[in-house]
Amino acid sequence: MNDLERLEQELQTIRLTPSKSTDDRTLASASRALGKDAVTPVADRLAGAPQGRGLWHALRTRRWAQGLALAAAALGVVMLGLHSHLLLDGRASPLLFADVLKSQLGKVKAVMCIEHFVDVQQDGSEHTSSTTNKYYVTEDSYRRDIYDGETLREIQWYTPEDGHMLQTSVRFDLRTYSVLRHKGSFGQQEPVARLRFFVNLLDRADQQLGDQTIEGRKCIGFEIAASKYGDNPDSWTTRVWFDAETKLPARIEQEHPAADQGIKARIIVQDRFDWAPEVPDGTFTAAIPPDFTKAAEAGSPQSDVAAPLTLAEVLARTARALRSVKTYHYQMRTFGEGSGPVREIWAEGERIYARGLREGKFVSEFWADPTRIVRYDREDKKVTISDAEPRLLRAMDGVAVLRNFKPEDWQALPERRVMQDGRWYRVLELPGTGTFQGLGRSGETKTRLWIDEKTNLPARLESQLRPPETEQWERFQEVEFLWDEKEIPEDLFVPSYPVTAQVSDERRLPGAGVGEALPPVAPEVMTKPIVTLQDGVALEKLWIHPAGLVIMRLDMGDRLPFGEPPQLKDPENNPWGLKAEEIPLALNGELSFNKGMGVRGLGHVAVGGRWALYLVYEFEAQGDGIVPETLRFRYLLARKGLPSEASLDAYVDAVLKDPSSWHLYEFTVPTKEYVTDRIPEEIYASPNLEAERVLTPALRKVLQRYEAAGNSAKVQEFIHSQGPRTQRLLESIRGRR
Amino acid sequence: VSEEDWDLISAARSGDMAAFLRIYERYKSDVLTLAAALLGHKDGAEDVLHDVFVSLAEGLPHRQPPVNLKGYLLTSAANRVRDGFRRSKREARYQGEAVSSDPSGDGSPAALAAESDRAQFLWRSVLSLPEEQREVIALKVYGGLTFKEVAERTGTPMNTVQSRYRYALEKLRATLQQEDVQ
Repeated sequence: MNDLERLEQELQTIRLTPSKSTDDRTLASASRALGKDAVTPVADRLAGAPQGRGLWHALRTRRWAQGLALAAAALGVVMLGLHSHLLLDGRASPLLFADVLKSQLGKVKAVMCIEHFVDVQQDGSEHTSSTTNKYYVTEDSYRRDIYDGETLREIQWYTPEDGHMLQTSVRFDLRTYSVLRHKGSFGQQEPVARLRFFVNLLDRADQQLGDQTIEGRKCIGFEIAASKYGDNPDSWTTRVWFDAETKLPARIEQEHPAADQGIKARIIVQDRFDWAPEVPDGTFTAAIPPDFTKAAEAGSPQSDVAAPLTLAEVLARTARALRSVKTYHYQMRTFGEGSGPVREIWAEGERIYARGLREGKFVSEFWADPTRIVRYDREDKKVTISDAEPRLLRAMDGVAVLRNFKPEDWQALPERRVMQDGRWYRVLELPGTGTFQGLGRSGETKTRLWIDEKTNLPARLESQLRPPETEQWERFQEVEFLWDEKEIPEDLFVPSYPVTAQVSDERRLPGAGVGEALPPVAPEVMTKPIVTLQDGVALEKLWIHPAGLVIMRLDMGDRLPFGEPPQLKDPENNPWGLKAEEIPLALNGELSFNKGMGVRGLGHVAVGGRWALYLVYEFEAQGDGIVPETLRFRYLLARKGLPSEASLDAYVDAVLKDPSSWHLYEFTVPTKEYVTDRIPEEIYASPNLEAERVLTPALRKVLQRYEAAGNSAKVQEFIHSQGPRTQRLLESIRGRR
Repeated sequence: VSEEDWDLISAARSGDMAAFLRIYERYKSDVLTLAAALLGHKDGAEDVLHDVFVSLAEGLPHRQPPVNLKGYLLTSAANRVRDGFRRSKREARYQGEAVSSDPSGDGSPAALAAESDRAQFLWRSVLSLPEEQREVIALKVYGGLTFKEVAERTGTPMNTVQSRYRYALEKLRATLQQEDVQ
């Protein structure tokens, strides 16, 4: 590639970003343009003779539905300001008509509908909860069946008794029941009762909505502010859609903002109405299975943990529980601008399978075992294979899993307990200010970790972000954990990609040691950031958890564990006398893995547009045990004027040819000191745990096979084909036999 | 059109604003950069960006979706510059516009900061090119056109287009080298 071609490439990377006002202006106009055509004035539709006649026809022919149809029609008419002339030919006023409707509503025998819950994310996308309610409603009773997915979790019967409402609930998941008495009768959730409300508010409806197809039927919708019918905030709205042909309600939505939950809004939806359901006898008669026990009174905690725990106790229990984990599975979602694909991860011992999904399609897959990492990028059809180091593999995964699980930072509310779906959780909360690395989003953060009281394992991790100068918390990231999932298919951990994919094997990259000349670097390993340096004194921190989960933090100089930080303004550390403020703006590199060498990263730092520092960093875990005894860091800094080609690889070549232009820094950090003042000893002290975890059954099996065959040469060959740590562990196993 | 573009267009055609937002986020920088490179300034380019996407939104319900969405948007931007915005052309000016690297790269703010000096200098240099050279750079680099297509579009012989492109690159390289030795 010549200079001009490189320049052309560089030009192609430049992209401008529009101002926020332009974004807002454009999207607002586009939104109007998109919506404009979809909305044909409902008045025109209703005013058409066929629709008007159809309505009366429905009223005449479906007697039981008269009330609801009248309610629907009247709601629409008055909302539109059409008043009575369309439907009543001027023979009745709207208010009089509403009275007629109310009396007709009483004639409805039964209604059935489904209620579900939709979360509107900050980017406008929607997520529907797996929990649904199925309602059966009659004149004086109703029943709610609550499903989690396909599973019936609970039935609630609401039946009248002595002027009050008796609520009988049966929890099939807990095998319990409860009986409560409420003052008054129906609540506002019941659809007929809600229609009664709307009928009373007909002349105050706010606006018509665009046409919408619901369950295959064209519907016309209307919106009303919830503040008009109760002590509700102005921002709550209710929308009702009616079947354009039958004029029967097809969908009712109540929407309210839910910024405190990190989402834009939550919508309670009632739809799939059946206005003439088959309701078997006994539908409204509470039936409590004989072996079910009575649940505790509402408000009294139910838990296997009797006494309150301190934060330290909670963390210690969690650590112990994590240590016994064999497999796990989690799904991580990131929301909002810059969000990546949904990541789904399975892990068993040292084997990991991860996949990224965007809009339901795979975009990448990732397999790891103690000897290698295989990544398959489906979009580029590119496979990269790297050497692996097992603890660090898990470290990578741990970064994603529990990077916020830094115990002393949790200003935990260990007594804060939440019951959800029949289980009790302790909720720890971590406030802070930070940047979500790699996504480039920063601001005030708030993270909550839910710990299952029964298993002591993390169940859910939720992060929220409040960008600078904003008031609104945004849901940012959520992780749901499944520990020791019973059946993980074995072939999940076996790399699988098309033979036509382009394979790049990075395993042959030689390692770089002290004083050794570094090889030219494949450009593809320098494309993604992993850490950011600021002020020249930042350093990654690794905490390795006994279960292999790793906390990775970025700390600033005054918190470095080894004496004087390598500030480049110090002449001893900066033989070229560069000014500190000129130095590192950023580190741009990617971790790569080399057998026995720990982690090596490569990056470059541009200074002032004319000078560059090239930086190579490595850290190597030394010693046995899940937590290594030491971590050795090596940083190589080079300074040389950027050549005219301004190409990084050419620059690296030039730097390395001139030993006076680079300098190596080396630090060895005693890990235990590094860790023990922050994490209780018991969390990481785990004798011989490493051998149990690192050596997968497959490795053990191979060793056993060769040993059983008495083929010592093959045994040696096999052991020496592994990395140094695996070699040590295999030797130790062999020695014990 | 990519499968994903197709899905987004289909959803946007039925009024799905979230889908339209995805389209906008995906291509707004491409459109803005092309328009700014053609115009020589960003302010007018933001107007072009606005009009291109609003026009897309207006047309979606009525017209067949474009086969190549990115190409359609870029052509639409270039046409708008040609047909209207040149008349209100302002002096090229540079006031530290937000220049970023390709978002498909590492994308971290820190990495962008590190690269921004050079990227900003390079962008300034592009804007200071003579108009006919800048136009070729814009259409070729940011509009994705071939020399033949640039020639047809600008009504200029292809040899001339190629020469202008080469002169522009050489000028940019010289400018960068001068900056390096200062």
